[in-house]
Amino acid sequence: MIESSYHPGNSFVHRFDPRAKLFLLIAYTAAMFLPYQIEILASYTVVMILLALPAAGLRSAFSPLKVLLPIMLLIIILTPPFYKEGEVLVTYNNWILLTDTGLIRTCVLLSRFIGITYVFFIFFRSTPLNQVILTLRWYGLSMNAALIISMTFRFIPYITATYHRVSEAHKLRGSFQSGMWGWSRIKGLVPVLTSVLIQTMKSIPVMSMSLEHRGFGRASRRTSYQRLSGGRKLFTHLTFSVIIALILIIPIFLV
Amino acid sequence: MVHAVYGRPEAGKTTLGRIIAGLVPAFTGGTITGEILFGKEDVLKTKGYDLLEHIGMVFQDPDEQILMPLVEDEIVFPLESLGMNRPQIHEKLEEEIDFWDLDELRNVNPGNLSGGEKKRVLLAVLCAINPSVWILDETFEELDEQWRETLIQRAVASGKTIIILASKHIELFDIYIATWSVIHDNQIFQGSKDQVLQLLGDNWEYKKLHPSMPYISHSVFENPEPILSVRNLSYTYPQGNSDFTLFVDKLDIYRGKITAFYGPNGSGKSTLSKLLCGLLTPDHGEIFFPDNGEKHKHAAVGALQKFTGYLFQNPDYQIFLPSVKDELMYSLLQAGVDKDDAYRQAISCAELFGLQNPNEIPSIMSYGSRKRLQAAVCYLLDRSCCIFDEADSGILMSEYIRIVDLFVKREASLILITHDLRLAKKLADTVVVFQDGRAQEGYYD
Amino acid sequence: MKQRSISELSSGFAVSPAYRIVSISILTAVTAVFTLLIRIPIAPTRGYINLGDVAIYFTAFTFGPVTALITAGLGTAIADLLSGYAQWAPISLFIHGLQGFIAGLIVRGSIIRMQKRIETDEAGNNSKNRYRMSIPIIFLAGLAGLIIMVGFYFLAGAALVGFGAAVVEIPGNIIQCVVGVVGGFLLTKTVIKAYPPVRDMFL
Repeated sequence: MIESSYHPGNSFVHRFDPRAKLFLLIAYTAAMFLPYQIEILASYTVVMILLALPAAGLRSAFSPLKVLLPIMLLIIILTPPFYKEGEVLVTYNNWILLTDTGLIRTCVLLSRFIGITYVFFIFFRSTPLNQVILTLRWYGLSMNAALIISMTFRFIPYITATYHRVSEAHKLRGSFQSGMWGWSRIKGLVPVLTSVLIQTMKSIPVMSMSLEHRGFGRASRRTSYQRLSGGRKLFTHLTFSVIIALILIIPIFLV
Repeated sequence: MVHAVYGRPEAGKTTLGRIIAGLVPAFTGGTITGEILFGKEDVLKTKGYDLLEHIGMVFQDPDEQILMPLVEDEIVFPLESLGMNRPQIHEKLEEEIDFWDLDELRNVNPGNLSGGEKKRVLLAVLCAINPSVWILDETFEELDEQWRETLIQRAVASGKTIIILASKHIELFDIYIATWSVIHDNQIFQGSKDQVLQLLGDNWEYKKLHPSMPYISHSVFENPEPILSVRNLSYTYPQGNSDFTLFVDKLDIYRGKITAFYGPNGSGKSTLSKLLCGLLTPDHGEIFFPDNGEKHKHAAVGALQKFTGYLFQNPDYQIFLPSVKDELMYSLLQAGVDKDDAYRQAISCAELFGLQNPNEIPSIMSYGSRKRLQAAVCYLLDRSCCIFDEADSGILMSEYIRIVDLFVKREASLILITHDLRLAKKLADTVVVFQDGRAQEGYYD
Repeated sequence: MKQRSISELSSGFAVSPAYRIVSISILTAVTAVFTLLIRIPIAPTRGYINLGDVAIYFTAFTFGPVTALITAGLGTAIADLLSGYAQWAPISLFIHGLQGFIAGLIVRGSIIRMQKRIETDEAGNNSKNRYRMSIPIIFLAGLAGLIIMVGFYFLAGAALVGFGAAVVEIPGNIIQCVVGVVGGFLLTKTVIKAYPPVRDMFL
C-alpha cells in the first residue's frame, strides 16, 4: 500500500512555498468551474499538465491520466447523449450521436476534470505530509486536528499489518481459504474484521496512556518545533500566487 | 541509583510502573488506595501529563507507546509538551539521535522498525526528556548485547533514579543495583539479592510442579519417517533497505519429533515457517509431503495450510468470539462436527489447557490464558505439524513445557521458533540454526 | 481467577482529552485502511466498492455522531489521497463526514438503550436480548446515510465529470452503502459480544 503520495525532488514546484501552493490550488480549482469557453479551459488544463513535468519527472507526469482513463472514457461516451442541441456532427442510421454542443460540453468536462486532477496531483506530489499539515495550521487548522492527522498516519501501516497477520491467523485456523469468492469470501471476512476491530479497540486505552505520558493535556502552552520559513520567500511566493489567481480569473470579465 | 524490581510474567510489574507514572488507574478503571510520594507530591493525585519531567517510562511493547509517523517527531513531541524553544529542542534531538544511532532512521515511520530499533527510539525519547525517574519495563529484552551495555552505562552515569522491571535475572547489571525487590504473590518484597532471586525462581524450575516428569514425554516413534520435506528452497523479500534471501538446501520434519528453529531476529525463522504453512510461496525449490509420492513438486498452498498449524507470537490475532467454548467449538463446527460432539470436545480441551471457565470472554482474559486458549484452538485442529513462534515469551516456562508436552502426546511434529538456545537444546531433538538467511541442521555449541 | 465485571474495566477515562484524540486517530486510520485495503471491483469510475462504509457505520454505532463525523470524513479523504484520487478528498471529507454524523445521531438513542440493557443484565440473567439493536432505527440510519452519500456524490460527480458519468456511479455507490450498513451493524454486534468494553466507548 502506498504510504504517501509525496516524492522528494528539487523542482521549483517542490521549492515553492506550500502555503502559496495551497492558495493556487484553491484558486485554480475555483477558476475551472467558471463558465469559460473551451479554449481557455483547455489551455489551463494543458498548463497544468506541463507543470507536472518538472514536478513529477517525465516518467510519472502522465500517470494520473492512466488512472483516469476509465473515467475519461465514460465522460466521452456518456455526455453527448444528454446534449443533442446544435449542429449535428456525427450520425449513425438516423441516430444523432454527436452534436457540436455535445462535443464542446464533453471537452469542457474533460478539461475541467483533468485540470483539477493534475493540480491536486502536483500539490501532493511535491509537498511532504508534515508541510501539508503545517500549511493547514497556518491557515487555521487547530493543533489537535494536526495531531490527529499525524497520529492517523502512524496507525495506518500498523493497522494494515494487523489486518495481514489476522488474515493469516484465520486462514490457518480454517476460517477461510485462499481463493474463495463471492458469498464465502464475505463470510470469511467477518471473523477477520472482527478480530482486527477488537485488537484496534483494545489498543485505544493504552495508546491514550502513552499520549498523556508524553505530556498531552498540560495546562502550559505547547511549543512547535517544525515551522515553515517565513520572510521574503513567503511574501514573494504568495504575491506570485495572488497574481496568477487574478490572471486565471480575468478572462471571465473580458468576455 | 539503580533499583531492580523482578517478577514473573504477569506478576504486575507493568502495572506497578504505570501506577508510578500516573497512568493507572486513570485509563484502566479499578480502585487504588494509599499514596506514592514523589518529594512532597502524591503521584496518585497528579495527572499523568504533569509528571512528564519527573517520571518517564519505556513500555514493554513499543507498539503501545509509539505515536508519531516519524522518528524525529516522536522525539520532538514531548519536548514540545514541555514548552522548550526551538534551539533547545534541536540540541536535544540531535544529541539523542547521535547517541542512539538513529540518524539514518530519522524520517522513517517508527512503527516499521525492528523491535530493537523501536526500543532505541523510545530510549532516545526518554533521554531527551531526561526525567528524574526512569522506569525501564523489560527494556533490556529486545536489545542486543552492545546496546544493553550502552543503556546500563548511560543509566548509571545519568545520576537519575532508575527502576528496572524484569522477569529474567540479567547478571550484566548486578554490580550497579542498589536495591533489590521482587513482586511475588501480588506483593512487593524488598531484600537482599539472594532473597529476591530465590523468590523469583528460575524459569526452568518447573520440576517443583512436576517432580517426576522428564522435560517432554519421549516420542513413540523410534525411526520416524519425514512427513514434510524442503529441498533447494530460496525466497527473497524486502527487508529494510535491501532484499533478504532465505536459502534452505535440505530440511526434513519427522513425525512426532521436535525441531527447534534457532537464530537471531531477522534471520529467516518466521519466513521459513510461513513457507511451511503455505502462507508464502517459494521462489525456487519445493516443499512437499514425502509420503505422498509427489516428490520434487511444491505442494499446493491449500494442502500446506491444512497440514501445518501455527501459534503466532501474539495470541490475539484469531480471537473473535464471545466465549472460550465458542472459540474452541468454532473450528470443529466449521469442519462439520456434530454440535453436541463439538461441545464435549471443547469442554474437555478447555480443562486440558487449564481454562477453568468455558464461558469466560477471551478478549479480556489474562495474557497467559489467552496463550493457552490459542494453543487449545490449535490442538483441536489436530494438525500433523505445529509451529510455535516464540511461544515461550510472556508465560512461565513450566506452562510452555506443559503445552508442548500435550502436543507431543498427540504425535504431532513440532517446530519451536526461539532465540533462547537453552530452550532449543533442552527440548528439541534437532536444532536448525539460522544465520544470515541460511538454515542448517546441526547442534550449536 | 475471578473475572472482573465489565463495568469495572472501562470507567472514567472516556472524558480524558488524550482518550478522545487517540480514539479519533485510530478510528480514522481504521476507516482509511478499510477503504484502501479491502476492495471489490465494481464501479469503473471510482475504481472499486470498498469497505470504508462498513467502518463508518461501525464507528457511528459504537462511538457516536461526533466521532463518526471526524473519522468518516478524514478517513475517506486520506484514503483518497493515498490512492491517487486526491481531487475527491475534499468531497469525501464533506460527504462521508455528514453520512457518519447523521447515522450516529439517528442510532444514538437505540445504542444508549442497548448499553443500559447490557449493563443491568451483567449481574443477573444471560438473556440473548442484551445485544438487540433496534432494526428499524438501523435501517433508518442506513437509509439516511445512503441518501446523503449517493445523492451528494451524484451532485459532486455531475459537477466534476458530468451528468452521464455520474449516473453510472450510482448503483456502485448504493451497493457500497448497503454493504456498509449491513456489515457495520454485523461487526458492531460481533465486536461488542466478543469485547464488551466497546459499548462503553460511546462518546
